[in-house]
Order: sequence, then structure tokens, then C-alpha cells
Amino acid sequence: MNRELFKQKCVGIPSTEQSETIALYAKDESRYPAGDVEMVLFPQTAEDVSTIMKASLLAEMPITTGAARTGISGASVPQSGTIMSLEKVTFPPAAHLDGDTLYITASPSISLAEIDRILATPSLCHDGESEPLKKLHAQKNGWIYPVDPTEMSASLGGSVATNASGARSLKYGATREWIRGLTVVLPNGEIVTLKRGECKAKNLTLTLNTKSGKPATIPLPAYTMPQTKNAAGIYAKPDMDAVDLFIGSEGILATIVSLDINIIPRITSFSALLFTLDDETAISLVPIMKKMFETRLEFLEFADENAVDLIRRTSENDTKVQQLGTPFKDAGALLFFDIKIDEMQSKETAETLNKINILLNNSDTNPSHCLIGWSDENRELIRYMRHLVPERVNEAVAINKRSYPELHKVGTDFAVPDSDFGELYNYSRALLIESDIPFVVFGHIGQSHLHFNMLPQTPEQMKIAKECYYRMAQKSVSLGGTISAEHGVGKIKRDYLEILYKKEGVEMMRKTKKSLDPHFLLNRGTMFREK
Amino acid sequence: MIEIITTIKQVPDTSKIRVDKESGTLIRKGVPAVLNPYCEWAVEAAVSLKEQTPSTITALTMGPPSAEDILIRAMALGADNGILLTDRKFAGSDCRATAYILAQAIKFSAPNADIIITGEEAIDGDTAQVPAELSVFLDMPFIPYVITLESADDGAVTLIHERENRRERIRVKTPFVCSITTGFRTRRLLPLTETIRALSTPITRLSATEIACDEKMIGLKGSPTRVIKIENVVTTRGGKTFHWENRNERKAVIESLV
Ligand SMILES: Cc1cc2nc3c(=O)[nH]c(=O)nc-3n(C[C@H](O)[C@H](O)[C@H](O)COP(=O)(O)OP(=O)(O)OC[C@H]3O[C@@H](n4cnc5c(N)ncnc54)[C@H](O)[C@@H]3O)c2cc1C
Ligand SMILES: Cc1cc2nc3c(=O)[nH]c(=O)nc-3n(C[C@H](O)[C@H](O)[C@H](O)COP(=O)(O)OP(=O)(O)OC[C@H]3O[C@@H](n4cnc5c(N)ncnc54)[C@H](O)[C@@H]3O)c2cc1C
Repeated sequence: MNRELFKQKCVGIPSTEQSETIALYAKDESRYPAGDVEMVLFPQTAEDVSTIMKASLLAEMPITTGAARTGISGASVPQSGTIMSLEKVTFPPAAHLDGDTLYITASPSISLAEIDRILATPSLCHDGESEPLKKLHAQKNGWIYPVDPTEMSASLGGSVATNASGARSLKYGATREWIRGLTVVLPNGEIVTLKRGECKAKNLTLTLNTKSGKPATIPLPAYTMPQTKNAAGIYAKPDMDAVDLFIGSEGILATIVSLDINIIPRITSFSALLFTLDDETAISLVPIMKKMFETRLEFLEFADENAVDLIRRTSENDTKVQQLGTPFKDAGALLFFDIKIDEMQSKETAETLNKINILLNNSDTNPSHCLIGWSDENRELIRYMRHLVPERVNEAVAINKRSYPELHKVGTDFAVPDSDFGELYNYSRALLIESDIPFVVFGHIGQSHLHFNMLPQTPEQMKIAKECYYRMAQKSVSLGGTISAEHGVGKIKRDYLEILYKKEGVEMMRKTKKSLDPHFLLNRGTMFREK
Repeated sequence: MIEIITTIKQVPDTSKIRVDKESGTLIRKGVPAVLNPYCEWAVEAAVSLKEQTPSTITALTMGPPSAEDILIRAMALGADNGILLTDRKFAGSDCRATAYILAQAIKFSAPNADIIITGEEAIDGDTAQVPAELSVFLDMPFIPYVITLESADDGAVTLIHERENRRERIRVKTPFVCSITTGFRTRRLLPLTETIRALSTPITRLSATEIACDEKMIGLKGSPTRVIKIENVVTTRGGKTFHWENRNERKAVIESLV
């Protein structure tokens, strides 16, 4: 590594070598420990990113890309070298038309919350008379970018790099399905713009045309991916679209500098918080509701008795939580759902509510413990409640950490086919109860994708929790599931990637990476080790 | 049984609204309509009184047909009935005309009402005039800035209201008009059962003729106020510090100021 040469080549790009600032950028929400870092660079344009990549290659300087750092797998935590923070790669989002289809071009650093805000009332954000803007303004209720991860402060680029998904993925799929195109900077500094449908692999070889005219030839892994939602490993399929290679690749193949995303008109729906007697009741309602409402079900999320208990214990002074009143005080478990309706005062809505009422009466659930809302403010409250679960888990972990700094949360991100949900759930629960590990469960039950969060209180429990995790991962894969459905592999889960893809599969991924980044300079150590 | 009327208003969600730089008016296009938060608290105040003393609550609004939405919300919050005053002739009403129309409706459909609970102000019009004017048209006493209605007995209500620098607990004989100020609970989610009830409760619609409005008192014709110009006023308050060493200097400073 030649630091001086690197710095010289990056002159003019804002940077810092201050250790306190570096410390702020050398972590993400996983609290995975960082290695020694030289500096943080703040590129502002795609060209800056290209300059940094070229300098990195020349000076053999490892570069780790970071965005909003909300990741919980240590993906953006550097092992060494320089951090490239993308927060300044910004430009105002712009609306475009492709035939009749409206889409948005946005910067990688824009937050998902900001996209949501702009789309909700586009007339607030952009004046103008261009055709795309007219179309954007014509929707009275605004638009949505339907991918809806719980953590809305995540960046668009980061969410694409991890193929994030969220509550609404039940209906709308993961991030991948909403990306029309992207511009990436390859590890050699080449800038490549890709539009879906324009560049496809020939069987398992992908050739990218670059601006310099020197094409990049990329061998793709030959494994079969799980049929569930999945954010583990490099996306690979014969004849696949080039755009898909970069989605979910956790920044190890290139850095995304611009994105084209699809949007849809905001739908009318009501949101509900359903407090049930216990876990069993909540879980038994899931398949019935999915069948009853089919695609009108916008999402269906779950928090188990332990999670509800944790919130109850830690929310005595939280007025938002307290106003939920008796239903919350008495609650066992909790389901969150959103159902599409035409308008609030319609026959359809009344019928829908009546159906739920009957369903709840028939399943020992007090219908007045189903709280609903349809204003943005109510929806915000429900979103707040959803976010509260992982947040309170992290706080609990922080408290345990005070006694033993080496403790951290051990959280699963497994998804299995719907038919095997019960098997994985019962297996995992029994295992954790038997092993005496405190845990809470929450997540995307509509997609058979729950997060078991283990909260070890001692180093011994930590060890046992990791063993449990390993066994649950094996179980998930044996049922045709994945080891990471949405958070990505990062550094924390790279040892488990082999459970899913075997040694050979990981070796194939190394080959893919090497074809673009022979020295493993970009996001070194993320997803898999060099050797 | 106490008969409570809450007057409620549909307003644009002002957190999503933009002001036209030239005309100074609100751009309402594409902005969702919600129940004015002060009116929500008015309904909540009525509901919590009902929890103490048997009462019926009627939510009353003047507005376009789409204002039925806020009546449904009010009923799901605990109001028993909803009345919508809707008529082209109401269009253009200012505060006085609005108060007159509401008063006519109360005289017509609830002549024995005990308590009229309003919001302190509407977050779009912001005048806080309607409640007081309503009390004049109804010839009832008016208590502004009410925080809670504590209890009711023997034809009187005990309530707490806010004054400049203190809070007062007072007993007021019914009937009266009061306006509810901030500080009352947040906007809550509604129980499914209550929402079903609200959606299936028929809403009464009344027109200008049905509540015997004098046409000279309503709409643009009946509105004495005219908006001539709306300006964006920027107030600047500069501070200046004076120093003195002794009494004489102090005197000089004070004299220079007066
Ligand atoms: C409370 C909480 C709840 C969460 N809920 C969800 C959830 O519901 N669903 C979900 O999917 N995730 C969830 N997450 C995880 C996290 O929010 C997502 O992984 C998110 O997409 C990461 O975005 P980021 O901008 O924070 O990326 P970072 O954490 O900064 O980076 C993540 C990875 O992406 C790479 N990267 C970032 N930007 C780029 C770019 N422009 N080009 C190339 N690579 C890039 C980084 O190098 C790194 O490998 C949650 C996290 C928290 C703390
Ligand atoms: C000078 C002036 C001119 C105006 N001219 C017009 C015009 O030409 N056209 C026009 O459409 N509007 C006009 N308005 C707006 C309209 O008069 C007010 O919105 C309306 O009178 C209510 O007043 P407010 O919003 O200030 O309510 P406030 O007095 O601030 O509201 C306090 C309480 O009164 C009750 N209340 C108010 N309005 C209603 C209602 N409609 N139904 C039930 N309860 C209610 C509610 O309990 C509310 O919480 C004008 C306003 C002003 C100040």
C-alpha cells in the first residue's frame, strides 16, 4: 500500500484523517469491530469515485464503501485502508418518462425516507411543466417507491447494494424488482451505465461494454439460488441481466453512483395493529388472512410475546406507545397489516372490516384489540411501532454489553418456503428455549421470514447462541431457505455463506470478484474472505 | 343524559401544504384533508366526559360532501351521531357566517343541547373566531382554552381552563359553549369495532333551507369580512444592549430612550 501516492492521486476530493471522525465512519449498526483506517474520502461525483478507484488500484489501497451505515452485518465496516463515504454524491432526483412509464433517477445517497416524502406530495418538491412532472403531479395521492424496509434512514444506494426488502415485499417483492437501471464505477475506475434489458449474460458469462472501449468479461457462479427472498451471495443465473449482478452484491463488485427506480401511484389502504392473546393465535391467523385478502394485503408483520413484552417494559414514558391503551397492556403477540381499499367509506371497506371482525371473533381475539387508522399520522405511528422492536432490541444489547463488551446480538435473517415456515419456527423456538437463551422474534411473517434475535447476557450464552444460530442456518438451508433474506452477508455472516453455497459456490464468487477486482481492494472481506 | 355537540372542521393537512408566493394563499391541490387536530381533541374531551356521565355526542360539521370522512373519524372516536351541513349556498362563508350556520343547525337539530364543544382554532383559517361567535348566536356563555371537562352534575359542569398564567377549575351551568386547547391526548388509532359502528351509522345531511338559514347571513353575501390582500410579513426584532457605570450614566441612557 502506497499511502502518499494514493493521497496525491485523490487531491481535491474532500477527506479527513482525524481519528474521531474516522471512528464515526468505521462502524455500522452491527458494531462489528473495524481494522486500522487511514482516512475517509467524500467523493461528490461519479468522476470522483472513478478517481478514487484508479488511485486505489495504483497505490494498492483497500477501499470500503459506506453510505448511511444502517447495515447490521458489518458490510461497510473496513478491515483496513480507506473509507469512501458516499453521502456527498448527491443530485436532485428527477422524473423521467419511458413511453408511458414514469420513473425517477436518484443519487445513491438519498435516504429512503426522503424519497418517500418527495413522492407523497410531489407538488411540494418540484415546480415545472415538463411532461414527466405533469404526470407526477397528476396523481392526487402521490406516489410510492414500494420497497419499504423498516429503517428508512438507509440510503437508496445501500438498500440496492444489499437488495433490501421490507414489509411491502410481500406484495411488491424486494428492491431488485424496482430497479430499472444503474450507473456503476468498476474497481478499475471505468464508469458503466446499465439499463435493464440492454445487456444480458451469455449463459454464465457477462460482458460489459465500458466507456474506454475495453470490455469487462465476468464469469458468473453456477449455483442455484434459493427460491425464497434472498440477499446472500452474488446473484447468478444463466442469461441474467447485467443490472442484477450489482443489486445485492454488497458493493464488492462496483460502486453505484446513480439509480433509476420504478414508482407506482400511492394506493388507498388502512393500517392495523392487531394485539392477540398469544403467539399461536397470531401465527394461526397468517395463512387465513393471506388467503382471505390475497393481493389486497399490502403487508403482514409479526412481533412475538417476548418482543411485545420488551416494548412494554421499556416504554413506560413513551406517550406514543402508551396511547395504545388497554389492547397493548393486555397483548400477547402483535400483527401489523395494511389492506388496500378503494376509499374509506365504501361497501368494500365495510365488508373488509366485517370480515376481519368475524375472523377475530372466531379465533378468540377481541376485535376491539384490533386498532386501525388511515391517516398519514396513524400510519406513521404504526411504522414507529414496527421500528421500535429492533430498536429496543439494540438498546437491550447495549445494556448487556456494559457488563461484557464482547457481547452482541445474534440475529437470524432466514426465510424458507411458506410450506416449511412452521418447521423452522418450531425448531428454532424449541432450540432457544431448551438452550436457555433470551430471545425475541419479529419480522415479515407474511413471507415466512422472521428475525430471531438472541440476547445473550453472558459470554457463555453468547457461545451457545452462536451454536444455535449455526444449527438454525443449517435447518433453513435444508428446507430450501436462505441464510440471509434481506440484511446481506457482510462480515458477520460470511462463515455461513458456505452452508448455503458450499465451498465450491464461494470459490465461484471469488472468481467473479477477481475478474473485476484482482487484488480484492474494494470492500475487502465483505461477503467472503480473499482466500 | 347530557347532550353534547362537538363542532368539527375538515382542514388540509398543513404539514403537507405550500403557500403560493405571489398570492399568499394556500395551495390546497393534492393535499389530503384531515380532521382539524383541535377538533379531534374536542371530540376526545366529549368522549372522556361521556365515560364519567351518561351522554350523547353529536359531531357537527359544515363542509363539502367529502367532509363525511371526518364525521366517521369522530364517530369512531366515540361520537354517537354525525351531521353534515352541506349546501352550495354555504360556499364563501367567513367566520361569522360559519358561526351563524352552525348555530342554526344546533337550534334546529339539538335545541336542548347542554354543552357545545369546539376546537380552539382551525389550523387552516387560524382565526379562533368561530367558537365565540357561535356562543353569541346561541346566546350562551363561552369558556375558551378548556383543557378538560372533569365531571357533570345538577345542570353544571366542572372544567379546567387555561388563563394567561394559571389554570382555573370552574363550575359552569349548562348550556354553554367551550373551546378545547392543546394538550389533550394524541391522535389515536381506532378500534375495529368502533370503526365498523361508525361506518354503518347513517350521517344526517342538512341544507340551508332545512335549518332555516336567512340567506342574507350565509355564503359570500352574508360574510362581512373580505380578504383584500395577504402579505408575508417578516418581523425583525433587533436587540440593543446598554451599559452604564453609575447612576448618571444610567439616567442618560434612560432619557435617550424615552
Ligand atoms: C432498526 C433497523 C431495521 C432494519 N430493517 C431492515 C429491513 O426491514 N429490511 C432490510 O433489508 N434491511 C433492514 N435493515 C438493514 C439496513 O437498513 C439495510 O441493509 C440498508 O439497506 C443498508 O443501507 P445503508 O445506506 O445504511 O448502507 P450501509 O450500511 O452504509 O452499507 C451496506 C452495504 O452496502 C454497500 N453500499 C452502500 N452504498 C453503496 C453504493 N452506492 N454502491 C455500492 N455499494 C454500496 C456498503 O459497502 C455495504 O457493503 C435494518 C437496520 C436497522 C438498524
Ligand atoms: C377574512 C376572512 C375571509 C374569509 N373568506 C372566505 C371565503 O371567501 N371563502 C371561504 O371558503 N372561506 C373563507 N374564509 C375562511 C372561513 O371563514 C373559515 O375557515 C371558517 O370561518 C372557520 O374559521 P377558522 O378556520 O378560522 O376556524 P376557527 O374559528 O379557528 O375554528 C375554531 C373552531 O370552530 C369550529 N369550526 C370552524 N369551522 C367549522 C366548520 N366549517 N364546521 C364545523 N365547525 C367549525 C371548530 O370547532 C373549530 O375547531 C375566510 C376567513 C377569513 C378570516
